[in-house]
Amino acid sequence: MRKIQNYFVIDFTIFALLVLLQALMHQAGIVDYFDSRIVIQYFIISSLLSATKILINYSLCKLSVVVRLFVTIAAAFLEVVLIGGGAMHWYTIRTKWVLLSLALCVIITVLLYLITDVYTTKRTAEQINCSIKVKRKAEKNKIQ
Amino acid sequence: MKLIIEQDAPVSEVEITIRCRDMDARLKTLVRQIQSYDFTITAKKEGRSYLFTLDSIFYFESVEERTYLYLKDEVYECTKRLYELEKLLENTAFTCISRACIINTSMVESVRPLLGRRLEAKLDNGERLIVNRHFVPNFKKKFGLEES
Repeated sequence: MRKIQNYFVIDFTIFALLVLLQALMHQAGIVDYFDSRIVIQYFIISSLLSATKILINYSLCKLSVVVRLFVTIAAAFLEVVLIGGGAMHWYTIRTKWVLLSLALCVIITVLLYLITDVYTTKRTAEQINCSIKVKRKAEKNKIQ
Repeated sequence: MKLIIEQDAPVSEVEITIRCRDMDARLKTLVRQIQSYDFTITAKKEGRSYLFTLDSIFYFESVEERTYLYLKDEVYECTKRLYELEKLLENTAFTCISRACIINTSMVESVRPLLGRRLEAKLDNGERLIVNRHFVPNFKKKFGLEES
C-alpha cells in the first residue's frame, strides 16, 4: 500500500514539475509549443520515471543516497532522451536538446528528492506519534 | 490475553513464562520491557556511585570520551562507554539516535520532522534531541514500525 502511495506521490510530483518547467520555458520563449498532447505525454513519462525511481530505490537500497541519486539521474536521462526525443518526437536528437534534457533531469531529480524527503520524514513522524499515542493510551487504561 | 499471577512466599526470584503462538511486534516490546525490569546501570556523581533502573533513564550521551546518563533533571557520569551500553541495551527500549547519543524511546513524548530526513524527539522532561537520518530506521523499529 505504501509503495503504491509512494508511486503516486512521485508520479504527480514529477508531472507537476514537468508541466511547470514546460510552462516556464514556454513563457521564456525556449519552446514554442504547450498543448494538451504534451501534457498527456508528460503524464506517461512521469509514470515511467516514478516506476524507475521506485525500482532503483528498492534494488539499490544498500547503496548511499548520492549513488542512488546519480543512478536515478542517468536512468531518467536515458528515458527522456529515448522516449521523449525518440518515440514522442519532442525534439531532434541534437547536442543542444540532449544537454537541455540532462539539465532538466538533474533539476527534476534533485527537486523530487527534496520533496519526497520532506514527505517521507513527515509520514515517519506521524507514524511514530500515532504509535506513542496508542501506547500511552493503553498504559493509561492499564493504570485505571 | 490471559494473565496469571501466582504469589508464593518461598519464591526467591520472579519467574515469567510467556506462552504464545507467534512473537509479534507487541509481544517483542513486552519482552523488552520485562528484560529491562531489573536491569541496572551504575553511574557516578561527586565521587558517589548510584544504581539506576532503565525506566528512570532518559538518555545517554558521550561528550569528549566520557559517557553521561541523563535522568529527568539530573546528570550522572556513567562508568560504561557508549558502545558497551549500545550492546547491553540492544533488546531494550533504548536505541542510538546519533553517534554520541542513546535514547530511551519509552521517554519520547512526540517527534517532529526536520529537513534532511532527521527527526526531533521531544522527551517527557521537555528536552529535545535530534535523531540522525542514519538512525531513523532503528528508531522507528523501537516503536513497532518497519521501514517502508
